[in-house]
Amino acid sequence: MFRRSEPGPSRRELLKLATAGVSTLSLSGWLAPLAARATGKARKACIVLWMDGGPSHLDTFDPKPDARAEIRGDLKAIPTAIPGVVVSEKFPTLAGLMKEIALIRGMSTEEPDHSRGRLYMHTGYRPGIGGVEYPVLGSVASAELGDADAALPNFVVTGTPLNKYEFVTTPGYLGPRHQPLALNDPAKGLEDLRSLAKDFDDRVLLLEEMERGFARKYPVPPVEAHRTMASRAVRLIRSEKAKAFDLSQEAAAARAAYGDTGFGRGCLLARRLVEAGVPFVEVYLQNWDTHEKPVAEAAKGLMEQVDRGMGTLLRDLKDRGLLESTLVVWMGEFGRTPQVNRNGGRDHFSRAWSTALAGAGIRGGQVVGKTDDRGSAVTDRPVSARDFMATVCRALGIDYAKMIDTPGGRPVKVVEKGATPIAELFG
Amino acid sequence: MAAVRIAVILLFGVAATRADDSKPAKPAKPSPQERHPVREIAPVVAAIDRAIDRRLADARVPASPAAEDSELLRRASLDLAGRIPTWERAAAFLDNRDPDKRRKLVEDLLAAPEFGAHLADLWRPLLAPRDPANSKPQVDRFSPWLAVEFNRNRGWDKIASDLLGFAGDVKDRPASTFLMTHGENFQPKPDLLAAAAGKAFLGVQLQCAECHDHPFAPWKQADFWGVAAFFGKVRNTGIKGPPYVLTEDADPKPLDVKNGGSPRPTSGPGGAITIPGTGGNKGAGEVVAAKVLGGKPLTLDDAAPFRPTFVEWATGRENPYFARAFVNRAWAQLFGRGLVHAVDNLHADNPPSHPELLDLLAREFADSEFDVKHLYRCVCNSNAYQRSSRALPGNEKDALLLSKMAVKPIGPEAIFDSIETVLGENKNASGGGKAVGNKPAGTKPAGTKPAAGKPAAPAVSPRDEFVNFFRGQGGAEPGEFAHGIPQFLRRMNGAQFNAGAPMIERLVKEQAKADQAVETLFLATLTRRPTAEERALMAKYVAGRATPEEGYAGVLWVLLNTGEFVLNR
Repeated sequence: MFRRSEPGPSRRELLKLATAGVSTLSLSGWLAPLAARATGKARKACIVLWMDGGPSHLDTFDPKPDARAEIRGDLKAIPTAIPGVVVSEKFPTLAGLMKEIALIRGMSTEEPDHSRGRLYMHTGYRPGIGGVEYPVLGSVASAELGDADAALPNFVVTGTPLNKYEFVTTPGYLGPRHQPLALNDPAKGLEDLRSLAKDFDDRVLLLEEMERGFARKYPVPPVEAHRTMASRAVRLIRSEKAKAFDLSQEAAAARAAYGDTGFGRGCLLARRLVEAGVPFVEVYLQNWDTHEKPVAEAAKGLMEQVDRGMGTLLRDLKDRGLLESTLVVWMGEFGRTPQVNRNGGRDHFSRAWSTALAGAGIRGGQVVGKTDDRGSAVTDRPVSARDFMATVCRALGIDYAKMIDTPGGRPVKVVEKGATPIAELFG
Repeated sequence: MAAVRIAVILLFGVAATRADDSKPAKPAKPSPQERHPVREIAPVVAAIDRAIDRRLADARVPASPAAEDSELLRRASLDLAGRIPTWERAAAFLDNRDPDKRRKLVEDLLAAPEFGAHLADLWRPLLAPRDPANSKPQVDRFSPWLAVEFNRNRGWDKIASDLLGFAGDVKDRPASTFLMTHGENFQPKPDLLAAAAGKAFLGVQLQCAECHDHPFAPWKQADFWGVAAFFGKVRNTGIKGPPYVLTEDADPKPLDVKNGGSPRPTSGPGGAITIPGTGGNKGAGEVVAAKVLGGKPLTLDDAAPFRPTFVEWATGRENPYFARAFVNRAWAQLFGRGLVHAVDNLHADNPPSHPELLDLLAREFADSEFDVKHLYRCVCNSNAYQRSSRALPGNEKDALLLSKMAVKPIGPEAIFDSIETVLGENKNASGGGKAVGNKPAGTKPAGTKPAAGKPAAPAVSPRDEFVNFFRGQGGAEPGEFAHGIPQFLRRMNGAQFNAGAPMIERLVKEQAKADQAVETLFLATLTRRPTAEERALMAKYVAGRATPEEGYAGVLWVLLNTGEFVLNR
């Protein structure tokens, strides 16, 4: 139903094979490692750094140093590795890395509400239209880039979402199999990964025997699916790869480089997971909803976390040769009003705002689009939510225009029609 | 609800004591039943099988034999009570020589309060789905209300009328949930209500026509907005907060839509609705008259509420969708696939697999004044429902003709309740999820009022947490087994599944023979006795452990982790 661009059968294809009586399990049982999958090219991966609450574009990637104080805010702008381009003084590391980064300053979307905006910027579809539940980007990546047989999950989300909200994780029509594995605290590692049983291996032998017997009696897809997934879980529990979740494996200096913060640890976890083959990781950083002065002040600390965490992540990925195949996305659900309000904060604003992209072949060192001198309107090269989503898909090698049959039978596109990727970012 | 559950367990002949429940269990009082016309069962059952057998004969597909007792007991318990039977109940049923025991089983299950609770679990996601952007569960008064309605066997038409036609203060009135859920910022929205009403009560996918006409979709934009028009006037007067009163009285001050909220489409004279410009609607600005499906455009009386006209049509005995939609969903629940597939796509271009069977059951359902228990009773007593799910040579590939029962994934609520049945006497049984917080573990179902004097912040009940974790969001294909790695890790290694069980303590204390103990564990989890090979396998494993307790714990772990435990065969 949802064809993957990678070679190898999809989960549903595997289920079809299962129905046809072809066992998807190796004959030698669950202990045997699967044969390495032959893949032609380096697998693409994506790390989304989700700024929950909506950061101010003027205080981050689109400062207006020449505007009057109520618009400019109290942060200064600093030069970057791209001549003539300035960013917030809170981003010294990122300023130095700007040759790797492409800034999209012309984001223009239509949902200035947290709940709707979060869903919109995660799916590319405005919520509540047409009655179809659309999958979030991570679920799309899980279905398109993921390996259905991998011991590790294909979509991991970590960090802390905004107060009353949870992670935005709906896999929509793709179904629960493409839901993420959610880790609230990256320092804790993966929950329930270790068996509580002393004799896990003996128990698994019995389980395998029971599963074999049941599948013989009932050779139908749900039975095969259960057996396949159980064997995957057992492999993960036993897998060396599961160590990717364990940050204590990392040298103290490396951990320190990312910053001793939840977000820093999330970025480090993202790197470790991508390195281990996980195609999509999302790291939440909350509290960008800066309506009032105290929250706006606290957000300056968030900017420092971003500079350190994202900066180290980009350098680390580059040093390991992973940046070429890994797309790093910095985004929130919208920007903030240009005018500082009377409470010393900024309110929701979706007409003009910024996102940042790096890696996976994105041509860095450039700024796409422009806002007016107050940051209140896009004056050049506006980018809609669907254009943005199509851009991300293109960078990841996902066919964004592909039609997919939803379980209800209604065909929809990966990205809503009318989307055009930002051409300047490629080639 | 906790009392209800204990009552059910008592009814099943098990003296269960809950450490977390200080109140003594009251004996089950059968809820007073709504009166429906008296209808005979046998002719309907015979007609169901005739319709199915004829098709099988035409296609020369053999039908699998009747299910074994263990298969049927587990199946009917899961389908009608939403949980597996206790091992005592299983043993008693398997050893019972009464030739009428299957019919009595169905009767017992329909009379037990868990029937309504299970149907409420099944209908809740359709009638009041969770907000995908905010999945923190709220205090749930709706499911218990719905359970009571099903248990007293209220007509489905009356339940639907309550939900669609609710007016008044929503406080402590769970029937308001449907209208309040399909809205935004505490305001019911006509477009969301049209889509939801179409899906839940009429089995049609109107929402496909919200934005524009599709060349191949059966419904047009005028159909969608024509239905939405009936909901164009209902609004909540509590703009700034409670009291929230739903009314269709004239709005003296139209809503001030600010930053964030999307504007409600509003109705004009005669009930006509203007298609809003948000969301890329093709017909934005167009005015659409109120219209029921297949009907003529109507001019509604501005001085009166609009909804009653729709409700009367939608829930009427002559409505071509209403009875069929329910029958088809019940059929899909019991057989793993609707007579019409997908269940929400009733339309002439999408014919049923057995048209005369759907007609027959829909007519029977309407003639019985939408007697839900009667419908389930007729279907569950049929040979088709009671067939084995094992294939015969010649019907392996059949998924349409009902030659064998489907193997169906068990929903998360029923998995939770089944685990509770197995580990039921253990106060830790439901406290597994680490995300649950420090709330006392136990079986407090959703809807339990917070203790008096405490702030009303709704805690996530262990059951809700489990259900959220195992269901996730979004839809799998019907019949698809959809647990992912996190769910398997939780089952294999989570505290809930490894907390030990009083059953094991008892087996050890009573110095049961290993073989007897293994049999009890099989009955408790898989509702059957082990095969000779399984007995040998488990005996060898148990003998290899340091203590019997360790051995039984291992066997129980294995059984809870089998596909057989989480699938309904």
